[in-house]
Amino acid sequence: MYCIEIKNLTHKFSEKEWVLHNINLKIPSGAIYGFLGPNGAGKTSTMQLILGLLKKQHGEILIFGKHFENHRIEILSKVGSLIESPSIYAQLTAAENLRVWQKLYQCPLQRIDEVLQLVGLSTTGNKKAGNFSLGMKQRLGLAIALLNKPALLILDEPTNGLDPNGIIEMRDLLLRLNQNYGITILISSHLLAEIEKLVTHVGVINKGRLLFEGTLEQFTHSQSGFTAVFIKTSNTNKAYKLLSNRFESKIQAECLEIASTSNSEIAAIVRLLVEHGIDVYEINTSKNNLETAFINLIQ
Amino acid sequence: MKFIYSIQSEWLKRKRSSVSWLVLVGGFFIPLIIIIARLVYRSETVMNNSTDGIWLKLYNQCWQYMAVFLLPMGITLAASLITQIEYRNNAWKQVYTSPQAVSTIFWAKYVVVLIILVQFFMLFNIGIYSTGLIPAIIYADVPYPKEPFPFWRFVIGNYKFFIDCLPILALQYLLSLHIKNFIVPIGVGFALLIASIIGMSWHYGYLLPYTYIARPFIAADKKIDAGINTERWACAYFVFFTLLNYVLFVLKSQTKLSGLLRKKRIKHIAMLSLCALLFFIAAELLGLFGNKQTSKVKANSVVEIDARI
Repeated sequence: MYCIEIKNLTHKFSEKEWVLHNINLKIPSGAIYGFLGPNGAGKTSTMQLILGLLKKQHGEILIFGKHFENHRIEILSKVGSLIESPSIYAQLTAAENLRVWQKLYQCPLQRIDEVLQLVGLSTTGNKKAGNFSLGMKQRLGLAIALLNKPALLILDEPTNGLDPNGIIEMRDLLLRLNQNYGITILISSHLLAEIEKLVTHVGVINKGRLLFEGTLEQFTHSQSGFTAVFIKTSNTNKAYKLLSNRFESKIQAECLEIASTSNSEIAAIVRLLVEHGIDVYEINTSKNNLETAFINLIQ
Repeated sequence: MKFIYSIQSEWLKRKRSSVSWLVLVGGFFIPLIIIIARLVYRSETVMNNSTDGIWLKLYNQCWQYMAVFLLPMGITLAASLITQIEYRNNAWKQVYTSPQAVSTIFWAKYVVVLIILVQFFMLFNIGIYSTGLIPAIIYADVPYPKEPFPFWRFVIGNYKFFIDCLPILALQYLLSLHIKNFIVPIGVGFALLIASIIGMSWHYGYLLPYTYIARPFIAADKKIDAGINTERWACAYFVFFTLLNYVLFVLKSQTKLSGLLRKKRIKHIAMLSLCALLFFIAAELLGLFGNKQTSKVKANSVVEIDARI
């Protein structure tokens, strides 16, 4: 069962300005889906199309298995969103801001205190939202998105303006929401290291085209063209002379760095060193991460 | 019921906003000046409060200052400020992703704007009532107005002024809703008001909606025809601008940000509407409707000045 299913989505702002080319997305229910791409790739446009902020021109958008245009209000009542900067009424307090949306969602009043507690804004009292820091505004935006207990959360760059501690708190909160309440989360962010710690699935978009979609493991494996092995030995120079004929290697910070792709090659290297009387003190491997995989893919 | 919730939500947004302060200050500004004047000229106040027609005199004094310039400008400002709540706080996208129909969003906001106008009228009338009462409360020698308060005459007069305000409100709200820049609708409103004041004594000055509130007072100067039924015109303009605004709003929200379609459609609708309005006015100028009232009754007394009572 997919929470969001997008088929052949194409969108243009003018005859010559194409934003999305034939996008196909499948976001499973209960997933945390990282939507990645450089600036101008089409992430925000896709999210706006999903939420009906842009009128769909070509293709199909199904949310909870239903066509958005035919079930707009029903779908939106189960969706929370934070697109670009948060929408906060500056002259109102945090609780008053939430009261505006509570009226529309008709959720219980105590839900306001719950979400304020959840995002850590329960102590802001009578302070006007206009006087909040950027991070507090971002958290209030998230509180608004969570007010209606959504089954789907759509977040565009939610960590913008947050300090490192705030980013960690946001990540923990999103993980909690996903694990405890089963909320499906579609999130875009430029902070790839953060996304890597959060998401279960990844979609990579560039210049309006979807380049990859799958689980995080599938993504990093699909791009694992290079793995470095760092070996610390009793005689680095001798080890280098021994291995440089057979492997792409170099000396770096009294360590031998070898480009390797498989476990069997690492085992062969260790055997060879030991056979030639070189003691092996330490072996480290540098696994491919989301950042390098992402860079490899979009280049 | 959802519509009521949407209105409540919109009503909450105006709390502590500039528009709330504008209504409060605007409602009591003129009455406060009149009260100060009545306190300063104490002996005249003693005499006036004992005469018949004191309430009508106070009503006329307050409305005269309010109607010509302050109220049209106040409406212009209020319409801009209420839509700026969404623009300034970058909140339109959150409104559009809330579970309510686009038409509900439009009408809920519109109802709130109308309620704000009613709120202003109520505060202003409380202010007018206070001009009669406060000097008597402060000074022992100033009697309470001898004449009973003409409640229903106030209601009818306010009702007519309210109808006269509607076309300004509808047009200014239309401009403010579709133009993000705060200055443009205010500038257009100010320019139209000045042009209308200049054009008021023109034979066909009754076609200018910004003149309707001030007409009863200008009619007293025998410059214009007091017999024109401006309420009928005001209602027609109000319905026209409101429907045009609604169509543009729905079109805009359906094709939001996809500039090509939006610009084309909105341009077509705006052009068609302008043509329809010009045709309607031209038909009136040529006398095609044949029902222009040309009463030669001119207002020249205090009571007749107040054609809104």
